[in-house]
Amino acid sequence: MSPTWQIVWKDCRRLRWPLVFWAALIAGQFLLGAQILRQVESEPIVLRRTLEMLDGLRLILWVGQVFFGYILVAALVQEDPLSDQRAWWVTRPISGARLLGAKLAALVLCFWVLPLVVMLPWWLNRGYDGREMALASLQLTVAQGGLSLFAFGLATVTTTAASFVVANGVLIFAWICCVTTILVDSPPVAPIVSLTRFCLAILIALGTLVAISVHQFLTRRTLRSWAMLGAGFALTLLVVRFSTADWMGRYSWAGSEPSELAAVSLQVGQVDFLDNGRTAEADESIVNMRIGVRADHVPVGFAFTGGEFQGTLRWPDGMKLERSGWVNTYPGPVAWQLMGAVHAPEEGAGRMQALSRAPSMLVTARLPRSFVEKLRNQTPVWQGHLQLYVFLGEVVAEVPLKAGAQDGRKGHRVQVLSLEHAANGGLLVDTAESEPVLALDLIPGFYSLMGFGASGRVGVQGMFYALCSRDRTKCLPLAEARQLYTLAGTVGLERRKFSFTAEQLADPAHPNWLDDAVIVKVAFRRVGTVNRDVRTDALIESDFSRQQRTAPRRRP
Amino acid sequence: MNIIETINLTRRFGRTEAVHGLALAVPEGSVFALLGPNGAGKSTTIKLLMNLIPPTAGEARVLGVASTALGPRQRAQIGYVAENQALPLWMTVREYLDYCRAFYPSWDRTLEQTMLTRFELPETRTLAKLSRGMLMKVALLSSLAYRPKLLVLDEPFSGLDPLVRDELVRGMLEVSEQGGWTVLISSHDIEEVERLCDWIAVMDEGRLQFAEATEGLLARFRRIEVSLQGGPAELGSPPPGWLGLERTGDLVRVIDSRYQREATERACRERFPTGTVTAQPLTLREISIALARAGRAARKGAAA
Repeated sequence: MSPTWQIVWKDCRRLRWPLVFWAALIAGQFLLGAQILRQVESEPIVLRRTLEMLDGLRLILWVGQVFFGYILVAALVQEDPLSDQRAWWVTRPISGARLLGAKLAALVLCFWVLPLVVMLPWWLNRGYDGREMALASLQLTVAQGGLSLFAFGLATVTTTAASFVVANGVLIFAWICCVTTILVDSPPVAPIVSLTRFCLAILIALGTLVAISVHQFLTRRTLRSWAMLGAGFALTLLVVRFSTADWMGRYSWAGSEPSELAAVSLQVGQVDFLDNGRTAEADESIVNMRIGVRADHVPVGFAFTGGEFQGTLRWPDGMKLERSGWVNTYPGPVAWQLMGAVHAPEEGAGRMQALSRAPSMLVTARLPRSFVEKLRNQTPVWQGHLQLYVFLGEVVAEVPLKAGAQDGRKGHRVQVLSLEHAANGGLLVDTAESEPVLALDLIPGFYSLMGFGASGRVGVQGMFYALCSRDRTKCLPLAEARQLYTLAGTVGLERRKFSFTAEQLADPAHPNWLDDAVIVKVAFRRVGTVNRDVRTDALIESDFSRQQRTAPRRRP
Repeated sequence: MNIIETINLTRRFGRTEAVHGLALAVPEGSVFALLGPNGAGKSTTIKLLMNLIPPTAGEARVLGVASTALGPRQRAQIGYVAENQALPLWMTVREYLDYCRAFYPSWDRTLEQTMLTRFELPETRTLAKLSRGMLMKVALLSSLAYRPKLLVLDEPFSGLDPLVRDELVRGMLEVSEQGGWTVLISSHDIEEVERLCDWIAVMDEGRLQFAEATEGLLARFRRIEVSLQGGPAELGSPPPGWLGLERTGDLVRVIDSRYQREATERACRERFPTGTVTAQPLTLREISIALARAGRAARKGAAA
């Protein structure tokens, strides 16, 4: 065995029992996840509480796994400490580069291969195919790699577990204090700039940790490494305070565009003004302008769900507004198309405003009240850039409406756990689902923090369900009551109850259609972005918006 | 040829100068003892030589390479044992030796087995369960088994009982008989290393007092006692090489660091014409104490 592998083997042996415990924490989450998918209770409230309790336990295991894993990475590095003159390895024929190589190899084995081996049965159990498993492994790499890098870097400049924990605590506390102080005094910025600042800060922090890790392994000059850490820390603070970089404007426009979408054209045309009332200033109103976007030549199956814009509105009298923000979209019609529904059924009244079915941009401005009326006569010109997220929808499950039936493709699995026929003729369907999720889904609250929409999930956005007859002559949108949504090892777990009224189910023409009905699930997977520079000579105020315009509200 | 050489080697910790302008040469094949009281700068010197800490100024060369550039190739020829060295305490003796072996192509399994037997080390016991003496034996064994060209021992016997110390010394002597290596051993107690060393250097307050072959050192140091019979009242300033001149009643004592029988007797007769001169050899311990005292007195004088 080569000296490098001798070190790797030694580290693995040294950490074997803690690693077994850590792996048990991971496996425990899957066992609880499996139970979440299996749990059956007739009483919805009892079911929800039981599921929440199971999920609470799973969360405890997850927190334990993250925390313990973080400490274990540090223990791996500190097994051969770099900042201790008494360390065994420093007087032996082991170069810093060799030790770094050995530690990285041990890191991969213990914190990537091991969890992968533990997760593999779970992924297979949830119906992941090769592609899904490769993606899930990639997610694991990102999540575990990011976390490990922080622990790895800090462990190189500390000697014991206690000093490592203290260093973490001090750094986190200092960072929170500094950032809070900075943000309180700093002028407000666009959400995308905040997002860019956050991403830049993370990148600088990771870069700093990589630099001090390599530096410390190669030179063992701990004071200098701490100085580098301090410099990186200060740089992140400067970025958080002063960076005006806008990745949306400068970098993220260069998105991936699937070749099938080369012919897609985007146009803006209709605008809808909504006067949302006065501000604290006497002669000022908050005006929302919803600008409609039309996409032409979109191939079947593709939908735009969300996006970003950056542009300028110009009025004939010279007034100018520069705004950036999010594009709202709704891919429902595409889902019906994919299901093969003979006609797109009407959805619940008021569920989704008609305008939001097509992409639209929401521009908010504080304008003089005298200007609000003028807006209706002088609609502006819009020039800017649109980036729409492209999702490809596909039917991922068709489950017969029978207790115990299940189906799924591409990592999705839907199982009907029970059917309850109500006395009034209605039907309650209890389902358990699992689906692949993206790495960022593993960070609770990430999307909320970043200001993403209520759906909260970019990876598999827009799940659509319908109860359809086999020949698709009848399709009912499913009114769902989500019991629980949680995550376990890159797998999203969902428990839902779908309810149907007797009126919905009744069909005189096909009285037995339910016997052969299936629950169809359509999932949209992000496949890239479409980027276009768009310009209009004039926005046209939409008829629809005239009807929807709200009356100005007066503040008390 | 010197296996270790330092030129103006200096190391400061803040305002404290732990090692000052050290010029040391350790001849190849010697067993070189670096002596001095606690805080003299011995361990710092060894850390500088082993590149455990960087020098503030000056340079050290070990095995012909700058100490700051010591690489795996040189380290494979250096054995290092220190009293506070961290060992993987969770390993058994056998696992530890197996682990060490992978890093040394020249590892001698026969020698390993011989020393295991000699030191009576329990192979299946974890290092954590070994006594301090046993741990030092394991550390020494793991540094001897690959027959290093240079063995560096930093206070190896500190706190060990005489029996263990003797076992370690005998073990080292046994290996050294096979020749071909150099030993640098630091200690605050000369008696610990007296049997081993053939070269001695004494440090005090970060400075090198002297470095010399033991044989020559013992030959040139003598305690001179002069019994006076109504001699001069004043001792006067001592000639160069006389250390710690003092008078107690009719007896004058001095340590001559440049002893040559005839010259010393002549010098005594010139100063104390009526005295009777006797010369006694000194132990290494007495020599090092006398030199340390003289050095401190000289520095105090210079400071004043």
